[in-house]
Amino acid sequence: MTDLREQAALLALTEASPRPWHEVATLAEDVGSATAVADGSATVYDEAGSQLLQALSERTTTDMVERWSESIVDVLARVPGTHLLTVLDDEYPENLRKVFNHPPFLFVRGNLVAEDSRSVAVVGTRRASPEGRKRAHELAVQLAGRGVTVISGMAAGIDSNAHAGALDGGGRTIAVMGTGIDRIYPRENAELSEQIVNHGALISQFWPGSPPRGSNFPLRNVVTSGIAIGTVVVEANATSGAKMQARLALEHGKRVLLMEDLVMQEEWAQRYSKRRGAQVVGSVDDILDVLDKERAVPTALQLF
Amino acid sequence: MPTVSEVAISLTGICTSVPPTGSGICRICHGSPNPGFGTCWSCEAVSSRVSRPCPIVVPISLYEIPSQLHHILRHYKSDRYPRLHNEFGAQVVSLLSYFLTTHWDCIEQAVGGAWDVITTVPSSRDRDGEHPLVTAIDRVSLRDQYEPLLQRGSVAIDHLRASDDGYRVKRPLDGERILLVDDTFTSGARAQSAASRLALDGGDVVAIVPIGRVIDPAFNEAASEYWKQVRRTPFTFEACCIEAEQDEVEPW
Repeated sequence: MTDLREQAALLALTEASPRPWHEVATLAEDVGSATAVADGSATVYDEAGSQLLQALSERTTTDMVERWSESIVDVLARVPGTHLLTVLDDEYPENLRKVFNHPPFLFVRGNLVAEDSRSVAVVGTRRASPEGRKRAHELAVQLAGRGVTVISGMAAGIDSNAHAGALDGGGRTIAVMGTGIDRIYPRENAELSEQIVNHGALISQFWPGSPPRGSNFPLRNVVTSGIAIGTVVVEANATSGAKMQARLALEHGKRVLLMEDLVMQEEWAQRYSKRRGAQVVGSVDDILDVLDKERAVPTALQLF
Repeated sequence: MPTVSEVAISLTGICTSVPPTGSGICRICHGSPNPGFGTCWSCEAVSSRVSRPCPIVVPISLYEIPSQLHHILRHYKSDRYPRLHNEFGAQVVSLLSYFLTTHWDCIEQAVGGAWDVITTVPSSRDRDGEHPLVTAIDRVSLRDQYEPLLQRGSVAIDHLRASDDGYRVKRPLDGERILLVDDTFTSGARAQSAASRLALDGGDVVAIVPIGRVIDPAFNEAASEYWKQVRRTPFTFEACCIEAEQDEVEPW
């Protein structure tokens, strides 16, 4: 785990960045140190990286780093069981590191374990039908029973049922928050969030104290897609954030698994089902087939 | 163990189809020319700086920055995260190998026959050991034809700054037909400097095959419109950008 000075420097760089946060993540990874970016001692070879490095070293002051050191200590003390993971840590989730727009840091309440790399995101609408909720719950129970970590966004509706199903199935689940780590949203999920902490983790890429801003949710969806091997959409209409996550997952080169019922009901899902990377699934076995194939890391290749 | 074709096909969703040359398409790199021009600005600029550029560029995919393909092409070279490096390396070489084997015949037809050697553009950075693309190529069947013919020369090549002296050949050439492959093609300065050097020293560079050709849709209105158009055609390994145009390729 990186020390507090590196963590504080990375958060200061993120605060100072004129560019999207994921570019700070990539730059810090390239250099291997946030303090070397902040103090301008680092060198990078690409033009865009050099420009960002210069901007960040000009804008990041030692006062900012100092202030972030204090804030990190404060939030970790205030929210028990929380730690901070950065892209500079080997423990940063590997699935997430593979996607181009991964965030520079994650506050984690609970624990992430190596087995969480075998995971699927189960997502859908907040305004779910009783059947949709039931399907999400059952699916998560079965996935959990097969040792798959269930990822979702802790929203009302499909998300909450996916988390609850994973817990009922005796498995692990990770909630990717659209708020700061210290703000449970929606409030009705306070009890559920405590259970998630004990059997997985809450993770947040936002500043502590961040409210549920509309602009947070697309970024939240990036992490929900990125940390999983694939995304299962249970029930969602064309304006749902779950449809956006399906698009992000395809951009990440991940599999998008559309439940049969969804494809029968939603025109957008029919269109998506024809796209490369998307697939219609009817059962947990269908999902596991895709999952385990995707997970095989091709360090060796067979010729055709 | 996954096959090259399985790995390549799994990347279809992050690739963008490359259009055949025609109106509004650069006749060299298949990128976006300014209205009224046959070649894009970077091919124009690069071609004016080297003596013997190669007029046939066959990109496998287009990509913008940032994107997942850019992430893979950038990080397969990084050894900071070994698992990522391995996985991205396998993906890069699968794209190249599967594309070349699928389109071997149409490239051969477009360039007037088979090639003798496949070579790469040397890395512009100092690193220990060989270029990661070479390591990757060594994992698949392309290795039989592969030979590293070039090393860095006396002039540093940078964006748009192409030079005949950017690279040196490692051995005398005697009319060998050469297919030059590279991971990325931004302005083409590196690939065309390499092509020019090989040609000046007696090689016959039949085509350049970059895995990804960078497009900046924000460059101008024409680039933005070009990007919108190319994204309408889903990428498939069954098509390549030279199949439809084999009578149209003109010497430079």
